[in-house]
Amino acid sequence: MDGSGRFHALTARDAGLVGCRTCTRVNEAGAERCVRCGERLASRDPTSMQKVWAWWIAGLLFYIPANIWPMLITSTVGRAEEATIIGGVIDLANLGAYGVAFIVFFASVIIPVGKFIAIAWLALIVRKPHGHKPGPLLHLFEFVEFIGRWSMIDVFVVAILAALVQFDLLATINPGIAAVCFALSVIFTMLSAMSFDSRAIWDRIETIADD
Amino acid sequence: MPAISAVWLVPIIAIFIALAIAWQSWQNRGVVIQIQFPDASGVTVGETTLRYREVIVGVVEDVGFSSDLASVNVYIRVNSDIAPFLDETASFWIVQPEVTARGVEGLSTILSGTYIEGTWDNRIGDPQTEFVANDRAPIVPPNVEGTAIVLRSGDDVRLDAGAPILYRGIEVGEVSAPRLSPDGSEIRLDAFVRAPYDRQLSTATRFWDSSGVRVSVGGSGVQLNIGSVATLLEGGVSFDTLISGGTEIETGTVFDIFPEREAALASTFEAPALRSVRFSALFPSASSGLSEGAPVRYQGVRVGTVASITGFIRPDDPQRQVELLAVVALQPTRMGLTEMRSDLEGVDFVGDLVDTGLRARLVSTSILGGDLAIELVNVPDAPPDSLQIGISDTPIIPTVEPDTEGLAATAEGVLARIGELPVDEMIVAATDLLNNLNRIAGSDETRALPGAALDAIEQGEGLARDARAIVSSNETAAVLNGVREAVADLQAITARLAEQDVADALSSTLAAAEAAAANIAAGTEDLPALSESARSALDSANRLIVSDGVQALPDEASALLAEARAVIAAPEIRALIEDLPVISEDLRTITSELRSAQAASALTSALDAAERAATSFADSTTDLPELTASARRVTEQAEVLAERLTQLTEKANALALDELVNSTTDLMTTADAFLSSDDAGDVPVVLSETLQELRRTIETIRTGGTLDNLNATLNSASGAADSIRIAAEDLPALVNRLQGLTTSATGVLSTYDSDSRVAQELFATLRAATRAAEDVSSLSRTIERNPNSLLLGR
Repeated sequence: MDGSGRFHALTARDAGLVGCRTCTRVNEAGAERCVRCGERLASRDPTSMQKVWAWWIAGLLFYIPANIWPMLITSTVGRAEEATIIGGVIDLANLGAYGVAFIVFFASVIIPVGKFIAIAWLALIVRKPHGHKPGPLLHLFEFVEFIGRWSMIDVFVVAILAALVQFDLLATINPGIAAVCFALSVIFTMLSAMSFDSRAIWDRIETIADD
Repeated sequence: MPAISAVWLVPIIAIFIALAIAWQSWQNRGVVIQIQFPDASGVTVGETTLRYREVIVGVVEDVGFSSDLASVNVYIRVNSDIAPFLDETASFWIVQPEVTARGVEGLSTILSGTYIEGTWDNRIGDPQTEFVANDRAPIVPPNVEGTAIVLRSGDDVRLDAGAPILYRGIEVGEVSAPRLSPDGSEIRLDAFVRAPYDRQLSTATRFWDSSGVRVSVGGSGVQLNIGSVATLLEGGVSFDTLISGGTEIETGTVFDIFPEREAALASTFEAPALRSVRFSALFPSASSGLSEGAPVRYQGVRVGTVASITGFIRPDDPQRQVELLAVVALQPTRMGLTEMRSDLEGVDFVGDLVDTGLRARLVSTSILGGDLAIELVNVPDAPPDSLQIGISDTPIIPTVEPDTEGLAATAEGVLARIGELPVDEMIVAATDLLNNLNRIAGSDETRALPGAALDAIEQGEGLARDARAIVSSNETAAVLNGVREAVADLQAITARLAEQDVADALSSTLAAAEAAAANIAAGTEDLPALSESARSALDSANRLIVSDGVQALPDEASALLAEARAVIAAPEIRALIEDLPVISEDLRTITSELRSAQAASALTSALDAAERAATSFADSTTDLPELTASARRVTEQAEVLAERLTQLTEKANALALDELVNSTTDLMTTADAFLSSDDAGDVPVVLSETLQELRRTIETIRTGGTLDNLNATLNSASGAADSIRIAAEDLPALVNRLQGLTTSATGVLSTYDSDSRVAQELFATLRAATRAAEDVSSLSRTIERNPNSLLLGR
């Protein structure tokens, strides 16, 4: 932080160093492999943005059927009922289980949608110089990466229910096609988040700082 | 510029997969078909499925109404690979839980919900999108091998839809709901027999109703047949093929359902199941006695059955007169049609017969019963007529006057035939003869003979004295020999008369006459003439026996002898006296034979017989007043005959026999005069010749067969009378037998009336069965209304 109020930081690249993304050891710039773990070293990932967008699109593609198609197929005494994610939330809310409904809604709708928005926003703003502070951006990215796995709570619920509730004629719960789509969507968004090279956040700030 | 990352493949593949899925689902989107149901019970949009062989091939997309709200249209999206098969062979019905006597069906739908089942053949036809649903599953299950047939029943069919078809106790098929034929005359059921049992079906196969409990009372006691519980509640049909030789049947062959096994099997030997065509005949509505199932005969052969009887008014009849329309099922192949490929051929065949004079008429099936049958007769001189098509549902065969008077007609016919027998004439002739005999016996000439004989005896003493001289001569001896021969001949005549049983024949005749009189008396009382003549005959006979003439016979004989004595003074004649006892003996023999003709006892027996005949006839007539008419007619005939009898009597009066007697008497008188003449010497020779003449004459009478003829006549008359009497005696026996039959039948039936144990147990069984049926029915209703109750226990 300097007097201009501008954030300025020395990056590893500026310092002639490159950090290993696997074991975090700092190597000399130009080194092909990490001296500690032998991992291939790259100061920046040139295909990062491509991967982010590719996984993001794939995740979004699977998120659509995950919401349209049934998540759960509940067969009670011969009568099969299919429930989508939103349908299940509404059912739970109608039953008065607002807490559970909120959790499901949060995990299945808010988090994935938030992730899509956050990843897309991050990926968009780092393409050109921006005036955002890199700290909150990094925190946002870390939050997205952290929260991504919790989206799988829905899939876990489905998996556990399908495994437990198998009472033949009386009651049977089977996962719907949406569960698979939702799981794939979550996986793809996680991959998208992981593909994001967080070091790109600093590069554009650097450019601004150079001006 | 960095290289393009391989990760891009992921979204590309995802998009490709999504597009592929979208395209595929578009391709397999299916076809929406519309099925019309009377109501959409249990059908839920998006949930109710269409199944084919229990595989879901479609889902209900929408439920709506037809434009007039008369029915419910269910729109089903059917898988596109199935849609081409939905042609006109497709049928749909709603599967719901169903509790029947044979088990619970569609139980899975209680849990899974109602679904729509469809069936169609496995050939791609002309696809349709609009269908009308069936009430229930078709009896021919989808793609099950077997043969569909049609069962036909006259009435009282106790078969429900789904009732089993049993072959020796194995359920091999089922029937559909009974339906009425268009004219309402019979009940038809579509039925299906599964393979391989359908191989048992042939034209010789017979079906019978094996429903419920059947009690039959026969010579082997009481038989109680109870079918399975299912047949008890729903009915059932059994079949069997007893004889080989039936030809294979084709789909849709019509079989009759017989009420019971025995009737069905009996009909096997009667005729194979020939194709029958329906005709009808119109009879006057008063023709009671014709019933359904009555036979239709043609030239003595049963060619059909009366299927139904209804009242009918000809549309072109201005008086709106109700006639009896008898619908008959004819088998033209039994009437001479060699081969009948279609009903139309049969109609044409019968039509040709009608054109050449075939007519229907009612006939009585038995002497006593009032049951009628239809007989097809050829009336060659009938007014031209033809088969009337279009008036009723079936072609109408023209009819002729019915020949139906039952017992009355038959009995009258019998009596008329008896009346036509020459019995009456025989009786008349016999009576005539009797009258003639009476007349002869009562005639003065006949009476004169005994009187003369008496005289001869009285004067025998003088004759004995005077005759001694006469008898000493050879001529006299010759005369005496001649006399002896004459007497012997007379004796022979009388003996023959006695041998010929004239008296018996007379008594038979009298018995016959009495029987006739009794007959007449039974019907009417206005025939005193015959009785009068009979009485006069008896009186005459009586008079003959006790007549003065008989007693006067000796007088005349004595006179003859006295004169002979006066004339024949010759001692040669005295030898004659020794022969006189012989003459007297003969004469006595004559009288005694006359007396001992046993006419009185014969008459008594005759009267007894007549009385028996009268009694039996009276017995028979108490139950059959119709006979009175016949008897009256007989009486009338008898009256006519009585007149002819009188005429005959008069004719007989002039007969030669009379003359013979007269001439005999004349001869005697002449002989008398001759003997009393002075030319006594020549007398013996002439007397001898005369006596020989007389003998020859008598011989002629004897050998002429006159007596035989008379005897034969009387015998036949007697036989006829006896026949009548026997016939009359048989009649009450027949009536008695009938009465006995009725009584025993009543006894048998009364054994099984409501008080008997069999009946009580039977009723108890039926009540229990009814209760069971009600329970099952209420259970089924409850489940139907509320399927959840099975689970919730309500």
